[in-house]
Amino acid sequence: MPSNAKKKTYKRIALALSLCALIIWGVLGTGASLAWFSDTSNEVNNIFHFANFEVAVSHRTDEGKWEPIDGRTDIFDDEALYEPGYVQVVYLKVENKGDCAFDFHTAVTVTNYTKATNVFGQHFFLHDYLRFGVAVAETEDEMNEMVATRALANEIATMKLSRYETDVAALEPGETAYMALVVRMPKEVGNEANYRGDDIPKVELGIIVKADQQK
Amino acid sequence: MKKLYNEFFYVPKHGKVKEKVMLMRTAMTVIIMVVCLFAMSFTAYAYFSHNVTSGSNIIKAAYFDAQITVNNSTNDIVLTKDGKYQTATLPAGEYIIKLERGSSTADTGFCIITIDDTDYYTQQIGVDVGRNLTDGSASVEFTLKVSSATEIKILSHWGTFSCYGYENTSDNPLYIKSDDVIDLTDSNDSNGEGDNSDGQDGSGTTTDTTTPPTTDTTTGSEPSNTTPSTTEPTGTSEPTESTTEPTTSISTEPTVTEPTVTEPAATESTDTTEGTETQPAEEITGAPTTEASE
Repeated sequence: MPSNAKKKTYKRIALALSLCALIIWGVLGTGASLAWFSDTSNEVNNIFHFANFEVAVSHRTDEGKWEPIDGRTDIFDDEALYEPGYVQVVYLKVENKGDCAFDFHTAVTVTNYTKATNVFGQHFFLHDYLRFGVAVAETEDEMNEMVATRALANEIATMKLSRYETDVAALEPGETAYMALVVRMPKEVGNEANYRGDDIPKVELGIIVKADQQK
Repeated sequence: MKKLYNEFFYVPKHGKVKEKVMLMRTAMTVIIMVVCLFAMSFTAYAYFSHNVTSGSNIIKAAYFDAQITVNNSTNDIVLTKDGKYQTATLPAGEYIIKLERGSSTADTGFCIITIDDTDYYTQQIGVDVGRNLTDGSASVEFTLKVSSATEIKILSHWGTFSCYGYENTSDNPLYIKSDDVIDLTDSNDSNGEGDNSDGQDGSGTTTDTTTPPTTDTTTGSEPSNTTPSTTEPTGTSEPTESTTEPTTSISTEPTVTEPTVTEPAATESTDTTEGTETQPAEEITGAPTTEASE
């Protein structure tokens, strides 16, 4: 390489290094000046930890006790037989046992059903003749009052039995929400749902309580 | 596989790295990063959401099919079941007809009895409207007197009769209570009227069986404005046979017949009074999860 070209290269490198040093000196000087003329308190104690998200859902038994629900829990009485005027009420409790608030809602779906034959020889489905409803309350006493009589329970259960979701409700840490699920057969249901034969009309209900942390 | 590896992933020790190998390795790195990002976001979402599911909750229906015995002083009459009715043709005489719940799983029901094209309806069989088992309501037993061969058809109907438009009035000649006597042997037969008495004079008038539903309410809520759902025309099914064999069993095997049924009368309404009776206020306590029917 010719010596002139080498010299030019070295010059460029030296100039670039000088420029970098100049910039670094400027940044250091500015930063040091700013730090000299400002102050911070050392008393702030920032602790970061993962929020504890815990939802507990339980149902009330005949004895009045609250028992937790898992995937295998049947909260409706399997032995109950529906006829016109029959009403069944189950009570649920949702508790926020964690540290962060969440939004929750309850969904009820018909997961399975059987076809049966009525007195007239026609096929029918039981869920076409049932009515359903959910009452939400903040206290257990309030929930009991909402379904204290058959008339009140009938007023709540007005929807056809199919997929249903309650409105989203918020629950702060330590708070509890109560729900009464009502399923009934209106007393006006006639012999079109009075089955004959060996195929007992059945409906299988799935109940899901979904909670999401609040944004 | 080795061929693929050599083609797209192999980096020689002392040779030049192919461009497509470089691209492939870079692409794999990016894909893995994206997958990890997705996994992390889903994990974070799952960590802060929770579902509680209750498994299959089974709801089943009851049925009501009355056990019916018809007998007179000499033998028992066997009724024939032709799908929905239990029928028989009764020779002249006096018969005791007894209706019971039998094997029905429903707590209550009643029967609609068609005698010579006149529809009668019975009191509740089982518990009464107040869910009480009073004397005589576990079964209904009445006497029928006929002076000639008379066809009777009996339809078992679940529910409370007043919910289907049948009035609960004792002086209604079409209403049959226990110990009633239906006397079709007098001259009323000639103009098609029957005499339903409790040992007292009945009105003996012919009235429509499909009376409009009673809409008396105590709460002022929407009345149940449904037509009775059991108004099957009497001509749709004919009795297949009538026998007088000395047996008491009644066939309860269903057979399919041509139905003429109204649409489900599953309207939502609050309690209505049962005819002239006031329905007692039912208390649903907090603990029980099941309630009996009305």
